[in-house]
Amino acid sequence: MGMHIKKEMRRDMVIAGLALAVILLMPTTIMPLIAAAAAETGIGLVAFAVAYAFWAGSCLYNAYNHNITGAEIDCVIGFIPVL
Amino acid sequence: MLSHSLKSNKLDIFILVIITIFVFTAFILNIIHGGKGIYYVIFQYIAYPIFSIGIIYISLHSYVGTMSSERSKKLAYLMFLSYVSIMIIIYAIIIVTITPYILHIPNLLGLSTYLSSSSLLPFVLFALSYAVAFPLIFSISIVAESITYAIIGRINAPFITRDSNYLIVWLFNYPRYGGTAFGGVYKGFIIIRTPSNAVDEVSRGILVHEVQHVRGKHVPLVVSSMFAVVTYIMLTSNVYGKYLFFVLPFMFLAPLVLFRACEVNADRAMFRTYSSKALNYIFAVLKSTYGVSSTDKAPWASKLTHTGRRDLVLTYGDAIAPHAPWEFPLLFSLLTASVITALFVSRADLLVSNARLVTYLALLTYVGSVLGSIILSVLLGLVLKPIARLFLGRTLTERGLLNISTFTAGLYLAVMSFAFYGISQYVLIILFLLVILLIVGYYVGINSRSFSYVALSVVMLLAISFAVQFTLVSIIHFVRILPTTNAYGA
Repeated sequence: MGMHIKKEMRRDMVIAGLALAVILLMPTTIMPLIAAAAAETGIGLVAFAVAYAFWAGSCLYNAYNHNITGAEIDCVIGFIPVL
Repeated sequence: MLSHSLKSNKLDIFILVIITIFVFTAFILNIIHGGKGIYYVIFQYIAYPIFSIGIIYISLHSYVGTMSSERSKKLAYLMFLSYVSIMIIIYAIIIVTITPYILHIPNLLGLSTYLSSSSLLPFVLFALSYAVAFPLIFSISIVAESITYAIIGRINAPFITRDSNYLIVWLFNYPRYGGTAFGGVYKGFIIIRTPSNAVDEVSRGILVHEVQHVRGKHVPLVVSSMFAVVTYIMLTSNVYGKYLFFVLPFMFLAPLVLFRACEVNADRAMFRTYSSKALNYIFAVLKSTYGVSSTDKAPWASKLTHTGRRDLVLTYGDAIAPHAPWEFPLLFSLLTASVITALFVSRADLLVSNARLVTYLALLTYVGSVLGSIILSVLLGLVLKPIARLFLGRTLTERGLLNISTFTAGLYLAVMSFAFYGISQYVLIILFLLVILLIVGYYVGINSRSFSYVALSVVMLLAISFAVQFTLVSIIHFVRILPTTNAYGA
């Protein structure tokens, strides 16, 4: 029984330490940066996928229609949003 | 049960629908015409009273119609409804009459100019509405109980306790077990329903539960906290103040949490009387009423008021464990967020002239503060949990330990947030200590372990506050040094 309580107590102390670390990091720039990075990564991935699909699609469309000027403009200038 | 009563009262439903259409039309026309002229008169003096009377009539009629035809049962439930109606009517008359006088109190104290410019106004009215509602409802309850008691003396009903000066208990034969309690300040009334036409083991358990509702004056308590909301709305409708409604979510949730706490309190009385047998009685009630065999499988409405894990209090006597883990952080976060938002609005009004922008930002601030306070309460609660386990681990269950630590953390944040208004932090710490000692004393008992828990957790919370402040100050210092050296360096 004593051993059991000790184990639970140790687990509680570890969780408390983690919670304390998060609380202390809250006013620093670290927590907002982590949160922003997580959000940015998610949004960034989606935005990259959309931009890449649009770029590839427009290049393929111009190539299919033999529109050389359009292909030059779209494939070169259209790659900027992907970057 | 409801569908049965609706089918049996087709005329009632027809009348209700007609009245509702009329009132709704009058309400819309009144709004379209800006609350002026003949539409205002129709709504305010014809439609609204008809609606109120109609609702009371239909509810009385349908509710009594659900009972079987025995006269005494109808009378018993009429007693309950009359008790509630008397309280509502007297309270409405009194509060409408005294509201101008209550609002005159700040003028008499010479505080009106301070309050009209201060963002503390919502909280002064908040405290005032609770201070008015509680004594008033308890006094009105005495009147309503006396009237009910006087009527009961004249009817013939199956009483268990006819001779008691304080308690009156009815016993009814009914297919399902159940109980209702009301009153308790001057006279207490209990209705017990049982399938066997006698006081069997289960109905004795129900009786203990309901007697605790009467002895603890739970109905006046919950009704008071509900009517504090009405009082607050009455007070603020006559006062010019900005964003008075941000404190309302807290006021709406508080009676529900109080209701749940009262039910758990009554369950704890069952545990103290019958120890391990108490759970079996509740199982019997749930089985006969809802056909379920566990407390967390009860319908949503039952779990909302009686908590889903009432088996914890009925098995271990731990009265804080049945509350949901998010319940206390949410409740206190609503208060903390309203404090922060009211302060924000008062500052933003000085900087931004666009009222709509301020409203929009205030809403964002409120939602953000609620979420932030919930996260912070839970995190601080997790930090306090080892302390709770060290001192209270023998009396509380696992869930109870989490709930008491999140309660402590949430209350700390809510009380200390008033320091933003310039109220002395020492006063706030003493206030927090008093409240948390009462709460911990109620749940765990007043002993050296609960004192140690409170003392150590307060030290911990203060240490964390200083640590956070130190981090913040050092970062601000670090950030400020860089542009200064660049601007004036070399």
